[in-house]
Amino acid sequence: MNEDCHNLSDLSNHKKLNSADLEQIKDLIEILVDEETLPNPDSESLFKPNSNLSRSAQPDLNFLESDCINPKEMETEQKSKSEEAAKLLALTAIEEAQEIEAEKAIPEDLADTVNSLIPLIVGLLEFKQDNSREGIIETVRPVLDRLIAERTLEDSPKMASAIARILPAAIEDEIRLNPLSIARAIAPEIALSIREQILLDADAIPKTLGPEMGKAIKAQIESERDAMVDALYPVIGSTISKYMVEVVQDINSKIERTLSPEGIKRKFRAKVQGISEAELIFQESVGYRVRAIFLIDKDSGLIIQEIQIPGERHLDSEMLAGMLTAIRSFANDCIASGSELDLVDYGDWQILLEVAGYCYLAVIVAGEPPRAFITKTRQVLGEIVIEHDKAIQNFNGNLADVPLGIKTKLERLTQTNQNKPQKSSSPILWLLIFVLGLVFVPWGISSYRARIAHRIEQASVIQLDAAPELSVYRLDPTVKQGKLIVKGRVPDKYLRDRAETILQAIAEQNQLEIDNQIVIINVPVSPNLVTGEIQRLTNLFNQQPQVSIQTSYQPKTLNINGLVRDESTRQSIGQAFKQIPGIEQIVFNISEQLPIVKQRIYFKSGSSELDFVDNFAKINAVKQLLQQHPQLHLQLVASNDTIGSSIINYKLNHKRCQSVKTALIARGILATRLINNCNSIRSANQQDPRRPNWLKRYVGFKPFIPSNYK
Amino acid sequence: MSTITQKICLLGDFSVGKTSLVRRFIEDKFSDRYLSTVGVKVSRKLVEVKTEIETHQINLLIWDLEGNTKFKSIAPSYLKGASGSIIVGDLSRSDTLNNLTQHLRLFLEINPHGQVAVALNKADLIPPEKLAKLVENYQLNNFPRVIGVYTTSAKTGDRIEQMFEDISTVLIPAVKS
Repeated sequence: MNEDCHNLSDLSNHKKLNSADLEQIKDLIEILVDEETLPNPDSESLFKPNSNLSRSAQPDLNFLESDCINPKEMETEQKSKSEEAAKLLALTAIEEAQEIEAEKAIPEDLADTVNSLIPLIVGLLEFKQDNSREGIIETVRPVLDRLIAERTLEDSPKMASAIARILPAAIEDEIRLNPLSIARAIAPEIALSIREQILLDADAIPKTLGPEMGKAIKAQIESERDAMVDALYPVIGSTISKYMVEVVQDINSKIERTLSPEGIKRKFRAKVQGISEAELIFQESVGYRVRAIFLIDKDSGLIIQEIQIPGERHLDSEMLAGMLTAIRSFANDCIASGSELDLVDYGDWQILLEVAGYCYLAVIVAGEPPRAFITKTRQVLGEIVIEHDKAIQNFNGNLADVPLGIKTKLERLTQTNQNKPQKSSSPILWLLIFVLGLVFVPWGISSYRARIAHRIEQASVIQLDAAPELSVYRLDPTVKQGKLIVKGRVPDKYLRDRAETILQAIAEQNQLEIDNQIVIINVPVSPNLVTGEIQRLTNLFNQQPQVSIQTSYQPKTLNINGLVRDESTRQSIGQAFKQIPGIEQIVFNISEQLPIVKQRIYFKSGSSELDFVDNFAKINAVKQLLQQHPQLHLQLVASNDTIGSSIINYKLNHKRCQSVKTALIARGILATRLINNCNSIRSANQQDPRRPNWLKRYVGFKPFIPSNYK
Repeated sequence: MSTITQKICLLGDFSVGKTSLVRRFIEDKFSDRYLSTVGVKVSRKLVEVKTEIETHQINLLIWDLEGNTKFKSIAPSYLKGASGSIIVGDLSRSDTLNNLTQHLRLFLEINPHGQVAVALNKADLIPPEKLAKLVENYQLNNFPRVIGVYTTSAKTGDRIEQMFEDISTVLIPAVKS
């Protein structure tokens, strides 16, 4: 706009004006006046239709304003004065112009007149410019667009350079104030711009964006990981997933075969090599697999014979062979002349190269082939070269001329590969054998051992049984882990030691240690056995003369009742009973005298008949005594009165004894225990004469123990 | 119908258009952007050759070798085992034409029984009136193994098919002289 300011002042330099110019000046002055005088310039302005336009150009005007004037310098007082002066000047100018027009003077005069007016107009404009910049702005505003447009047409480079200077600042400002609208304004053209730039300079855009791509991808991954994964998946995802699926499948099958010989071998290898089994499985999974075999002419790189494994992606063998040959040649020429390239390794694949004579063998293998395979490769190539070297040397590119034997030999290398699945069937067999072995070998060993142990045990049992003192006790010898163990219970240490002595001999014979686990226990003796023994001893002692004992046994205590005539016999009886296990205490209740039987059975005079009513108690008492002392025998002794003859009395005595005897036998007493001694008459003379006769007629009892009692 | 495979090499100075010839022959494409071949590029094309008796299939393995420069000669080992060769010169650069015999000698030294076709390339750059004279100057027919000299243009495809067909024909074992 400096340009514009300048142009206005340039007006004074115009020396000559034509009528059209004059017309323009007039218009301009009118406008100036109108703008000043009219209270609302818009309402009646000559440029009314453009008023909207001028308003819309307002933002553009801002910088005009700032460039041309400083609004702060404006002061209202000055303003009103200058307005007055301007009006006067303007009116003078119009009047003069009107005069000129009215006179219709010839053009030269007119020009002169106008030229004389010019300083006035310039002064007016300068005045206006100095004192009423706002007014100027108001004046210029409606025509500004036209001014710019015309000026642009006139001298576009100048306009461009004028605008250019403030354009960055303008855009910067606008971006700050209204970023969205700027973005909207530029957006549609960005793609096009980049395309254009690429056409102009293909490298510039990649160079600019390149360094930022990494950061951009990183940022994108951070903010939207899933979207990035989705985007990249088709490229790398399928490759990785395919590979991983294969590896995982392989690992699965290997884990399934953990118990196969391979699995056990692997476990062993893992231990020996000190690496984890998982690592070994992974190595094996990545494993090796023959993909293709090529026999290639060493010089020309032509394929002599090829084998590609069905199921693998078919390789363009001729191109591959050509490139391999070129690489070989290159390596030979440039890297290591005289030595051979024997391995090309790319990713998971390896190309084994074996050279011989006029050809070389390229075996494409996935994974890490074992040494044995490489050896076999060499062997096969060696055989081929020996048998078919002429054919290979003369190979002219015609596959029909290649001997069939070569293919057969090469197929042997793939058989190694194909044998794998066959091998995989054998693990089942191996597994079966292994499992059976696992079951039967230990079983065989243990059953053999068990047989030997059983034999030793049998021998021990027989030996123990052979010892009578031990035979009643249950002793259980067992053989276990090189030891002869004997268990059981015996009542005393003697028996325990006895058993050990017997088994010691057997243990030494079979080189076993003896482990005596026999426990000594106080066996609670069976009451039946004790009473039996007591009875046996009782009977034994009762056989002795002068001994009549009865025994009764309560657990631990033995009561001995009866008759033992002397003390030494009593002591020996006591000792004998103490030997019986189960008897801890003996209570003696014995007498050294035979019991006295006081009972006398009285009879009526001249009668031998037993009066049961009177003598019932006496007979019973005698019976009880006899029952109490089983060894006791009774002599029946009769006594008679002095009445009657001695023969009669003798007979009566005899009969009376018989009656008593009969009565006792009738009550269960053995006849042998009752001995009649009625023959010896106890005459009245031998009795107290003072006794009444009825007391003299009786049968008495005299106890005795017969010495021959059994 | 029998199929045989034969190796042929493309020899010549750098930038004479060897790779472009191969590209035109195999892909029927042309680009005037120059990309130097590093080492060797192996391509393949199956060519059918009809003789009076039968149709032969020849599997051409074309070794497009890195062109030689002042500082680097062609690696002779790449030439080994080649049955035929196309030796290429650039009609617009006379020095490349002068080197043709040198290449020819190198090839025949390694493959004495090889068949050779000479391609005078970039014929499209030479005005027709000049062309005949130029070609006349570089007739290598006095070499017994040269089967012909072809003014080719990889840009227009001119005579390329013919040249490859001719060399294929002589590579059929029965036809080999």
